[in-house]
Amino acid sequence: MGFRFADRIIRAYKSFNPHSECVRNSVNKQIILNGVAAFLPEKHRIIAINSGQPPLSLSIPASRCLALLINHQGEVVLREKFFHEVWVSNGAQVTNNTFYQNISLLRRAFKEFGLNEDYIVTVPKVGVKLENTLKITRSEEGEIIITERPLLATPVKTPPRKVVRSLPASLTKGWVGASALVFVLCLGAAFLTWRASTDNRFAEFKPLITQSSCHYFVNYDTSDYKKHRLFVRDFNLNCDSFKYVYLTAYNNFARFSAVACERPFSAWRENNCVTHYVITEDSNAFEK
Amino acid sequence: MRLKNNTSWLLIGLLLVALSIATVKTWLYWKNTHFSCTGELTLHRKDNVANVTMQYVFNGDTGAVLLRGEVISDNAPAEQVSQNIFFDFQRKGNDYFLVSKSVTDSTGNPTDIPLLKRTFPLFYLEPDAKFFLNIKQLTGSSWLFTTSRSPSLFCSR
Repeated sequence: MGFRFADRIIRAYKSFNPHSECVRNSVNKQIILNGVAAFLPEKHRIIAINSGQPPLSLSIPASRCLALLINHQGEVVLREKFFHEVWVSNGAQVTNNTFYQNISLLRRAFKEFGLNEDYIVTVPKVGVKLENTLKITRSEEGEIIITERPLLATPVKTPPRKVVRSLPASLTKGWVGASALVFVLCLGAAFLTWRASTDNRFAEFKPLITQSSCHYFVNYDTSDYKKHRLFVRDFNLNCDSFKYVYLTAYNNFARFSAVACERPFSAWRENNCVTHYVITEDSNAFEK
Repeated sequence: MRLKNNTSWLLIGLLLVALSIATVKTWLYWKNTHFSCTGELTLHRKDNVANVTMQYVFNGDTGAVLLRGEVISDNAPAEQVSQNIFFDFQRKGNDYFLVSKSVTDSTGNPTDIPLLKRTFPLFYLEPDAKFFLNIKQLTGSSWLFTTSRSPSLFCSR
C-alpha cells in the first residue's frame, strides 16, 4: 500500500515536471555507446573514445531526444512523449517534420562515430525505438570515464586563429606599401611642379661654331644667324674660363646677349656663367 | 566594404598629391618675390664697356640692387661704379615692373657721372625711373634676367 502511494507521488511529480526525467537521469553522467563514443547529456555533446574524431555538438532538442531514447532503450517511445518531454515542457510547439529532423540528426551523429544508424528505428506513425543491441554503459555519479578534448584543439577552430595572426601583418604590409606609394607620388608631383616652373632654354640652343676654344650656341627661336656670326667675328671673347657661349639675338631688336659658361649648361648642377650684353642704336645693325 | 575602403584610400592619396602640388606652387609663388642673387655683367654700349657685379635682392614688393665695378671708355678715363638702388616692384607672372626709389653711390650722394649716364639705363642712376625685367628661374639656384627679349644677366645665388 505504502509502495503504491510512493509510486503515485513519483508519477504525479513526473507528470508535473516531465522534463526532469531525462535531465535528472543524465546530469553529471557520461553514457558510453558501444565503447566507441560517449554521450554527455548535460553538454549536449558526443565525443569519440580512442579516435581522432572531433567532438560533435548536438542541438539541445536532439540531445534531449537521445537522452529519452537511452532512458527507454528497447521500448518504442511515442511521438507524443517526445513532443511533451523535449519541446512542450520547454514552452515550444513543433511539427512532425521538426521531430523527424532531430531523429535524423541523431542517426547522422551515430554514423559519424561509427555506430550503426539502424540502432535508431522509426516505428511509422507511432514513435522511435533505440535497439537493445546498442551496448550502453552509464558512468556513476562523479565518475568520469573519458575526458573531453578541448574543442579549440579541433582543426575547425584553427583557421580563425591563423587569420587573427596573419591579418595584422597583411594589413601592416598594405598600409606601409600604400603610404610609400603615396609618398613617392607626392614627391614626384612636387618635383614635376617645380621643374615645370623652371626655364630650360639653354638646353635647346643650337651649336653654331667652335672657334678659339669657344663653343658658340644660338637661340633656337630664330633662323637668321647674321648677328650671331658678326658677334663671333668682332668680339674676341676670352674663352679660357668660359668656353660655352650662348648667343641670343633677334631681328629688329637692338640688343644682343652672350651668356658664357664654364661648362655646358645643365639644369642638374651649379652653372658658373657671365653675361655680355650689347646695346646698339640701330636695331637692324650690329656694331661693336 | 573593401571597395569603399579602397576608394577612401585612393581619395586620400589623390588629396595628398594635390596638396603637395599646391604647397610647391604656393612656395614658388612666394619665392618669386623673395630671393637674392648675384651676377657678372659686361655691358657694351657704343664705345663704353661696363664690367660690373650686380647683386639683386627681392623682398615682397620692394628690393635693392647693388652695382660694383667700373666703366671703361675709349674717349674718357675709367670710372668706378658703386651704385645702390632701392626700388619698388610689381610682379605679373615672370614680368617684373620696377621703379627706383632711392639711388646713391657708395658715399651716399646722387650719381652725376656723364660716363655712367651714357652707359647704364636711368633706373640705375636716378630715382623714379622705371625699368622692366623678365625673370625666369633656370635651376634651384640660378635665374635669368631678360631685357628686350635678350638675357641681360645670369644671376645665381
